[in-house]
Amino acid sequence: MVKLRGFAPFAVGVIVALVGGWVAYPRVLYRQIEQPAQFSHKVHVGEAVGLSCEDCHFLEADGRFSGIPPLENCAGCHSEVIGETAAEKQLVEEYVSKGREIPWLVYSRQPENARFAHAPHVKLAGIACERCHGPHGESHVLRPLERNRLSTYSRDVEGFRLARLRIDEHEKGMKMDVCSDCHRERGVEQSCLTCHK
Amino acid sequence: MKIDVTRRDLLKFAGGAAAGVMLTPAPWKAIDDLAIWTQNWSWIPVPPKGPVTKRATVCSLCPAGCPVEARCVGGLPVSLRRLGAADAGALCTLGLTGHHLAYHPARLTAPARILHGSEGSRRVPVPLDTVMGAIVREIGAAGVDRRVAVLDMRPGRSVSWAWRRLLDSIPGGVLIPSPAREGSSLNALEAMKGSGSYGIDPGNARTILSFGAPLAEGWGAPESTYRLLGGAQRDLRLIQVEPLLSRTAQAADLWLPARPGTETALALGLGHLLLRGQAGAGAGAADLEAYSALTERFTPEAVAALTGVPAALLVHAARKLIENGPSLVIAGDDAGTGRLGRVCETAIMGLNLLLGDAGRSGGVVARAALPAPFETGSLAPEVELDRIDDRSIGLLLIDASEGDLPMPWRVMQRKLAEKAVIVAISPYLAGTTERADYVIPSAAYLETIHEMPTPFDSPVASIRLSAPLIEPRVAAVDAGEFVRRIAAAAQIDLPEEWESSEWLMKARVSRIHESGVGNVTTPADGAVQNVSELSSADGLWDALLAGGHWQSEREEPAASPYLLLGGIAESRWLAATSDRAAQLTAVFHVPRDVSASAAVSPVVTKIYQESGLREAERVAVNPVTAQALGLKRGSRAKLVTAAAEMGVSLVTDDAVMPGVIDVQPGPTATALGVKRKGEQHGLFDLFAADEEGAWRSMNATLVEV
Repeated sequence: MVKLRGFAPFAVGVIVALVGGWVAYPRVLYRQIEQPAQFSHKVHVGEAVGLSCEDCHFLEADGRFSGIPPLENCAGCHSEVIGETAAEKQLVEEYVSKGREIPWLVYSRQPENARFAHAPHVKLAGIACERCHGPHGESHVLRPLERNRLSTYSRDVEGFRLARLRIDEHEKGMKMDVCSDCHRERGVEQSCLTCHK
Repeated sequence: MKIDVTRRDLLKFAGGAAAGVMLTPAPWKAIDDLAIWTQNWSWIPVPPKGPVTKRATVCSLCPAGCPVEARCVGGLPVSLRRLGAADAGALCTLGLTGHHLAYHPARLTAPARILHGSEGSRRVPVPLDTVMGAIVREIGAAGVDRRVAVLDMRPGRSVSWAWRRLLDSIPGGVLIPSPAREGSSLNALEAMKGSGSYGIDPGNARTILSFGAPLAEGWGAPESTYRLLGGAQRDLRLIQVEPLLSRTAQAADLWLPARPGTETALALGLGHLLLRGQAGAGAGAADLEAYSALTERFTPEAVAALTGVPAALLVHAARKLIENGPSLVIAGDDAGTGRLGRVCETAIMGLNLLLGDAGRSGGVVARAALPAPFETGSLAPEVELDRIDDRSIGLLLIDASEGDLPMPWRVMQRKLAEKAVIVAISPYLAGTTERADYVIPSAAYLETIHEMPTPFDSPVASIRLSAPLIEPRVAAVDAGEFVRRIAAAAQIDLPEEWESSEWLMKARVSRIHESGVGNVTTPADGAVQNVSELSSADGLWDALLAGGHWQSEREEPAASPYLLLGGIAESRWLAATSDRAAQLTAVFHVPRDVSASAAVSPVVTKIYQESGLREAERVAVNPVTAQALGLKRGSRAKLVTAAAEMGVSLVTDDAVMPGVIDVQPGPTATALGVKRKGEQHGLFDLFAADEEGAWRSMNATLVEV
C-alpha cells in the first residue's frame, strides 16, 4: 500500500497528460470559425430542389474545377426570400440584394506550396467526391471550419483523428502522406513537382 | 482523509506527466505545426487567388528568346512552359523558373552607391541625381586617354543604338559588346570578308564541326539545337572538338579530344587537309598563298603532336567535312566560358570559306541587319574589348538591364583607368554589377517589354518582344530613359527625342513595317503572316507583343574576295599554335542555365545543393593525371594559376582528357566571383584573358593540401 501510495503521483501525472494530450490538446489546437452564412446541401440535392453536386461544383471546359459557386448561382433562385429561415433572410438581405459575394470558408483549402487538380482525380481515376470530402452533400447545416492555430490549416486537410484508428477514408484528411498512399496504391508516378509549386 | 502533498509527490507528478505526454500526439503534432507555422508568417508573400488564365510572351533571359506560355492565377504567372511545336524542346531550367526572378533576394530596389572594402561591399542608397552627377563629371573629363565606354550585355537592341548615339557626342565614347556573349566569333568573318553581317544555318547543315560549342547543353537557340540533336534531322554528322567528353561530345558522331588552347593548330591542320582534299578550296582568298604557306607545317602528324588528336581522326574529320556537305564549322564562344580568341576564331571561320559554304544554305550565311530604330546617322563605334587599350576607360557604364553575363573581372579591370567610375543598370546586384560604384535598378523579366533582336545562330534577321505580365515591384529606371537623362544632364543634344526603350522599340518596329519585308509567325498555332499584309506598324507591334516572331527573308550571298588569315600577323599565328603538350591546363566549363544570367531562381540552386550534383569549387581530372600528381579522389587540393590560387575538392573522371583540369563552378553564376570563407579568390579569379581576349583555359598546377 505504501509502495502504491508512492507511485500514485506519477500515475496521476501520466493520466493527466494522456487526457490533456488526447482530448484537451486537439480542442485547444483548433479554433472553430463559423461560416458567414448557412446552407443546407441536403435540401438542395433532395427532392425539393433536385440539384446534383455537378450543378454547382463542376469542371470547366478547360478542365479547371469551378470550386465554390459564386453568388450569381444562388441569386438565380434566391433573388427574393423564398422560405422563412433566418439563413434565407440573411442570404438575400446581406448578400444577394447587395451583390456581395459570400466569403465562404473553404474546408479543403490546400496550402500555398501545393496544387491540386480535380479533373484527373475525378475523371481519370474515377474517385468519388466523398472519398476526400466525406458525406458533405448530405449535411443539413454547415459546420464551423476548424482551423489549426499554429499551422493555420483546416482540420479537413490535417485529418480528424490524431490516432488514425478506425476512421473513414475522408477522416484521414488531405495531407501529403494521404495523397502519396493513394498514388502508391494505384501505381501513379509521383515527384515533388507533381503536387508542389 | 488528509493527503499530504510533498515536494517529492510534485516531482513524481511532473515526471509522470512528462512520460505520459510522450504517449500522446501533442508534442509530435506541435513540432509539425510549428514547422508549418514558420512557413506561414504574415510577411511571407502569398500569390493571390483568382481565375486561371494563360498568356503568351517571350523569354528574355538569354538571347535565344523562346516563346513562352505563362499560366497565371489572379493575373500573376505561377508557371511557365515553352509555347509552340512539340518538337521544339522545352524551356531550360533558367527559363522554367524565370517568373521567380522579380522576387530575387539580390533584386535592386533603389539607386545605390556600392562601397567596396576588404571585408566585402556595402550598399548605400543614394538619389539618382547623385549617380548622374558622377556620370556627368566623368563625361566632362572624357578624352581618347580616358574613354567613356558602355559594356552592352545584350548588343543589337534598340537601346544599344541609343547608347551609340549618345557616345558619339562624347570624346572617346565607345560601345563594347560583352566578351562573354555567344556568337562573337562571327565577327571574325566580317574582318575576313571586309564587310557584311553573318549568321549560321545549322538547320540545313549535314555536317557540323564544333570547336567546343556546347550544343547539347543549351548553346544557341534551344529550339534549333534540340531539333538538330534529337529531332528528325538526325542524319546530321556532328564532330565535337573538346577536352572533355561532355554531353555534346557524347552526342557527337566523332569526338576530337584536343588539348585546351590548341584549337588554332587543329583548325589550321584541317585547313591543310582541305586545301589538298577539296578542289578549288580557298580560290577566292586574296591571301591564299600566305595561308597555304602557314598551313604547310600543320600536317596531320604535326597537329597530332600538338593537340593530342590522332592524325587518322583528323583526316577522317576532314573527309567528312568535304564529302558530307553542306558543312558548317562553329566556334564555341559561350556565355561564361567566353570566346576562343581572335586568332583562333579566324582560323575556325576560315574553314567555312575553304569549304565554300559561306553564303550557302547549311553554312555560314549572309544576314540582313535588323533595321535601326532611327535613320542611321553618326554613331559611336562598337569595339570588342580586346581592341580597347589597357587603362583607358574612365567611365564604364554597364547595361545589364536585360540580364548580366558574368566574366572574370580581371578581363575588364585591366582596361580601366585609375579611379575609373563604374555605373551599372541592372535588375540585380549580382555578377558584373557587383563591381560597380553605383547601381541603378531596372525592370526584371516579365516586368516590362524586353526586346530580343536577332540571335547569333539565326540565318535571318529577326525580332521578338517579351510582353510584361506583372507590375514592376521596384521603382525601376528604363535603360532608354537613362540614356536620355544622361544626355540632358551632360547637356548633349541628341537628334532624336526618344523617351524610353519602348519608344525606341516602336520606332524599330515601325521601320520594319515600312520595309514591308519578312513575316510574323504566331508561336501558338504556327500561323504566318506577311508584314506587307499588316495595315499599320501598330498591328505588327501588337502581333509581336502577343508572342509573334518577325523574321526577314534570306539574303543572297555576295561573292567577294576574302582574307583567310584575316590580316593577322604571322607572329600571332605562331604564338597561338605554340606547343603546349607538357602543360597541365585548367579549363572553365560553365553550363548555359548557370551562365546566361547572374541571378537564378533558388529552385535551381536548391536542386543542386540537395542532390549534390555539382559541388561548388570542384575540379575533375583524369585518373592518370591524378596519379601523376599523387592525388586521390576526394582529396582537397590547391589549384594554382598565374592569376590566383584557391582550395578545391578533387574528383577523378575518365571523361576528362589527361593533362586537363576541368574547373566546375557551383550552381550560380554569382558564385563564380564569390570568395569562399577562408579563400582569397573566387573561381573567376583563377582565369585571366590572354592577348586574344580568351579566358577559357589557363596553365595550372594542382597541389595537395
